[in-house]
Amino acid sequence: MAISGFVAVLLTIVALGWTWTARHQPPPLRAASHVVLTIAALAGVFALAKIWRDGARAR
Amino acid sequence: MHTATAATHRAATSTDFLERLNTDHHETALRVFMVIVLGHWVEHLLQGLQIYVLGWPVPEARGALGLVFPWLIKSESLHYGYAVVMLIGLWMLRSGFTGKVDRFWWMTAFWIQFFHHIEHGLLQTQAILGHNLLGRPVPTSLVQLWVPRVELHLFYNTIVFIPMVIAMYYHLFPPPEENLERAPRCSCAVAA
Repeated sequence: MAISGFVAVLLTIVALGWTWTARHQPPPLRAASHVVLTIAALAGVFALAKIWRDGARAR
Repeated sequence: MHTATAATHRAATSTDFLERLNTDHHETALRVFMVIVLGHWVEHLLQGLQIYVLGWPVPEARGALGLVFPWLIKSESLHYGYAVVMLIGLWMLRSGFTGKVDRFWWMTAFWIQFFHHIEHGLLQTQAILGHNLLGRPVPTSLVQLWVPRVELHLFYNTIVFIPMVIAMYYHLFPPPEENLERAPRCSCAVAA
């Protein structure tokens, strides 16, 4: 549950970061920021999927 | 003779300490480590909020600690120190992770943090020498040549923390087959 909460906060910050960098950074930096922010978001989703799936299997 | 005995004693004491840290005190040590890690996360998330929501200029967005002690956040030593603490913590607490799965994810976090620490080492070296990479106006790490610092470190902290969290999940809730292979030596696992 705590992990899900953390990932939700992380995804929110990443979404806000994505929007902000799109408006405030020049194209090459923006593209690089979007790559790392996307990987961060995917890592969060991966953790959630892994934990929820294995948790459900254990139950 | 005395020197050899003292050295042997010191080595034994250090082994003893690590052994206790990874058995009787593993749960407490992990809790303390987590408090440090989450404290650091709060600073990065606050910095994100200050920039992305409040619209503060990047150099002014220094998290909570940086509002009170601006010099502290501007100093590369603090960032490098934290990277070292993380690296030491991940290394010292590793042998408490006795399962295959939890150890794999914990060590994944360790190796990613190792690279993250090298990046901070580069920044710290430039701050000490007073010469920045490729004549940049501020200390710059390798990946920072392409990716802005705030987003890069949000990324680094995420890709270190996520495997740590997965490792801790499997450490707390070990898969049944793990228990049969190697019994946990600490009290961390939550009884089913």
